[in-house]
Amino acid sequence: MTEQIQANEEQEFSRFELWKEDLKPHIKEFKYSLHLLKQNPLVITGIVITLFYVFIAIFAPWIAPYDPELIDLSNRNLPPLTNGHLFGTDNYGMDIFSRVIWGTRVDFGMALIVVLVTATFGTILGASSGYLGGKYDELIMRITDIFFAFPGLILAMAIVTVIGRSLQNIMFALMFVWWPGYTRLIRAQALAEREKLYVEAARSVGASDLRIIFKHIIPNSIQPLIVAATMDLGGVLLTAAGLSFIGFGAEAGAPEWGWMIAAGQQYFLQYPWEVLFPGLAIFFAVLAFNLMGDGMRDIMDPRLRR
Amino acid sequence: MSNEDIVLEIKDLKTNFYTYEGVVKALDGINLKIRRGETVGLVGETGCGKSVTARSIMRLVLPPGKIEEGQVILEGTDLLKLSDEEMRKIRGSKIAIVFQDPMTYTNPVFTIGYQIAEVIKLHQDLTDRVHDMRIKKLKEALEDKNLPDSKREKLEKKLKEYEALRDNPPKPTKKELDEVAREEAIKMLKLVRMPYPEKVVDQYPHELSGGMRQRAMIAMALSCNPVLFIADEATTALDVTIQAQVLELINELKDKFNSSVIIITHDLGVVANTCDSVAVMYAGVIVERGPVEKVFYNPTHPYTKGLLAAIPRLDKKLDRLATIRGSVPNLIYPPSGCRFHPRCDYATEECKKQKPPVQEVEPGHYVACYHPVTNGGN
Amino acid sequence: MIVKVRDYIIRRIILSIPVILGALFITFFLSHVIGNPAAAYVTERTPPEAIPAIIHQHGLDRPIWEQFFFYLRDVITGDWGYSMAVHMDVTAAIATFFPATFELAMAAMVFSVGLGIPLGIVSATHKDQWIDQLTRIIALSGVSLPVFWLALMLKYIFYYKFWQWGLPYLPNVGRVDHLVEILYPIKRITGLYLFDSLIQGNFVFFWSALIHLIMPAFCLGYISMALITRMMRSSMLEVLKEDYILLARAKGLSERVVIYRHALRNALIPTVTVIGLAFGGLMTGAVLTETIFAWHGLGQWSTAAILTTDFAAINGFTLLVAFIFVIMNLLVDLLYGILDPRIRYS
Repeated sequence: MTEQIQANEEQEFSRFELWKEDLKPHIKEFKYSLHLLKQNPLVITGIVITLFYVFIAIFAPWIAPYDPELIDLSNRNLPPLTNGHLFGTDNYGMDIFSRVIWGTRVDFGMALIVVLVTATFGTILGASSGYLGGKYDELIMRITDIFFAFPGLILAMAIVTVIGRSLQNIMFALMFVWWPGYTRLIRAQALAEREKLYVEAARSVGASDLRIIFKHIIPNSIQPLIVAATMDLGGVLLTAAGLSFIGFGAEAGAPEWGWMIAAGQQYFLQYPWEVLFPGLAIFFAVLAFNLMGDGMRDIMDPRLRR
Repeated sequence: MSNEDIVLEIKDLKTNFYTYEGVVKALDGINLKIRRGETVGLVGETGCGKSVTARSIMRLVLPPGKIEEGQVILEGTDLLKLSDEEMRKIRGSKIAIVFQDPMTYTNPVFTIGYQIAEVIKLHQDLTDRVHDMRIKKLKEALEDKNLPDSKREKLEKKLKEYEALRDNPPKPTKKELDEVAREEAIKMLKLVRMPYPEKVVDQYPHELSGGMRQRAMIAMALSCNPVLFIADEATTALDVTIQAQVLELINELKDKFNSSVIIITHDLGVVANTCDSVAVMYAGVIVERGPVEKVFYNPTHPYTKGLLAAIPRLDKKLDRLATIRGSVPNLIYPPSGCRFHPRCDYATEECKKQKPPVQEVEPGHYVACYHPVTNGGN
Repeated sequence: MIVKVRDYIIRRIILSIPVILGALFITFFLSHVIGNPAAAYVTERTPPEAIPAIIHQHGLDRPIWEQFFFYLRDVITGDWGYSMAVHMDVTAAIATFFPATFELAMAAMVFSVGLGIPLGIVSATHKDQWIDQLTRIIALSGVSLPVFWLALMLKYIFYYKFWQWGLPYLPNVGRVDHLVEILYPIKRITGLYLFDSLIQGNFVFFWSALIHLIMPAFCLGYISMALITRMMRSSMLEVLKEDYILLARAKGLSERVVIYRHALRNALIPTVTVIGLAFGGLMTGAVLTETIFAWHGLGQWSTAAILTTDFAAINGFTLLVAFIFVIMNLLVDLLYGILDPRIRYS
């Protein structure tokens, strides 16, 4: 019998073999996820649209026919499809189509940066807060509570007022508004995870808190994080556009969708396209994010699988 | 087969589950007969199809599952041919089921009393009982010595009215129904020996212990005198002592209501203690069935033998625990012929080709095997 | 049980004190440390000579920690300062603007809850069928639309185009028609136009106020309706998978009873949180909608206040928001307790 055991061990000696075996269930899960993905037309639409926007953002200089900030007072307020202006022009004669395209870089970029930064920061903060607990946790919870008591838009408005109105500052303000959300989310996950046995096992073999937080707690909290982050891309975009609309972005002329809508407000009953197209740009971007986020939630929900 | 009162007859029941990975052939032709007043144990490993059988009987198989073919004949009626509405009338009244985990199977937002009363109100015509209650209340009111004469007259007049209407009582109001149903619920709780039934009836599931909750579930199930009572692993989640109490309770009530009981479990001890007959299931097929003593003292199917041999004994010294070699098959690609053949020491070519026929090795003792082992056992 | 509820409320109020204190602290910090605190108590007509007296009265000549207590005293006694942005005392401003936003938020709420919950239920019970797909698209677009853009588009169609096409059109700004306000005035009792005009029997005013409410309420409510529908759908789907639903079916209950009696109450529990949050968000975040529809409410006031750094107003608004937040939380928790007996006794 002992000879049998030795023979078996020699068979599975190769570490590469072992690593491949380890991966198998993950690959299987991944394939299943792809299968579910294919079955969900709405999610695919979301992904396609998002990629489309990314493409436009990257290749904006080559796609846009005009300089987005080129003022042409002889061609003001032209309706769509006149004189080579696909979406028409605004009150300063700037080509709306080009501005919408360049606006992708601004709005999309803002949303992306804000979410990446706050998600990372909030995750680390929330995971450590939830896992370590104690006074540190209490303190962070109180702080997030206070932030939560303020409606996001208003808090952002206040911050922008203090640090000055610009698109960049909108970004910073939004980071302030969004970080508590991730902190709370990850903290809740961390609280659940730290009761689990594998954490106790890790602790008992001497893993440091830092290691446990980064290698165990955070990876297992990824799922709701991804869903929340995707949806938040939309939320941030909407808020940023809203702030810009009221006037807190204040960079007159910059191709930002919210500002374009505000500028178009003046004569919009006569020239509705000036408001319509930037709005559609916002709508489809956020819609795409939401479709993806929704779809991912459905796919990752362990109870909906099988 | 004797002409005793057969309450439930299952003929060739087949149920499939259509999943992403393939079609799970969960039940591959179940045949079973249950007599009135009989307690049948349905035994087998996890995943062999015991619960699926129970749910198929009650037609509670939800998509992606589907009952493919077969007959489930309850007191002469094939349940699989009934309309949804007709089937609903049978569920809860003629066939009742108690599930494994009383915490997840009770609705947390309703009181115990409400959930029991719900079944009672649904399946029983409480008109007569409501009327009796009305009369009783009037009589009680009349016993009050301080009643002014004018009132007394009125009440007596009403009493006469009601007595006259005994054969054709007026329709009960919702309030009256609730009251009567609640009384009935308390009666049922007393029957299942729930401590402080009047208190429990207004309590919520999370306020009771596991054993109490299970008793409440049993009360719910038995409230309409079912002809067939199914206990699907009803005691698995309970402590051993409570388990014994609950099983005793089930048998007692069975006699009282003259119901038949199916006890689904993977615990052979439970079966030995409480059942009249037993059906052993493996991978969606009943491999052996018959009276408990006969099957347990004379197991003829290799699987049954393996199961019984695997039970550790306190009186014999063993080096290793006996096991059945191999593992439970994947029912998407079940073994051909006899589903047990890959693990069977007595398998031959025949066993791989076709499903074995059912043989009667002793009166009432049936086996689905080409090579029933007719000696030995404990 | 009643006693427990009372104790529960008291306990919750006590727990909310830190939040209120936090808000007070922040507002104090903003106005007294960063800004010029005296500006809050000065009006346009205050003569310069009176200023030293004002400074002394509000303790602004004392050290900073004593100032905090003066500030607290002022807040508690109701002297919240003067809002330059709207030319009235902060307390008067709140009394003027709060009802407007409240009325708008309530109307939006009625719309969003009244449509959101049934849609969510239908969507869940007909999962993946066309009605579900349609509802999901509507709900999804609801959370994807920029509210200010929706407002403008609605105005374009229902105000401008309808007028062009000769159809009855909705008014585009204001809470009530100016002419109506002059010719058929009502006495201001609560500030809620619908309520006040109704109890005074002034139906012309009522009607005008009603049609002015439609577009902004729809606009504001569409987004929270989308949220509620989504939440309801997902929690309904979750509940329908629960074991006790199987048992309800095993008891022989009809599908309708299973859904509307057994599943619904359980599914409402998480949805109520969303409703509470949505209402709180509506109340205080109606900024964009109020701006576009010239609805003189808290949103407009807070925007003006921030743009002109009117600290009295900002503080007043902040404290108000904190109070609303606390009360909303309390109401939601109480509602929780009613729906979910497991929570009642803890």
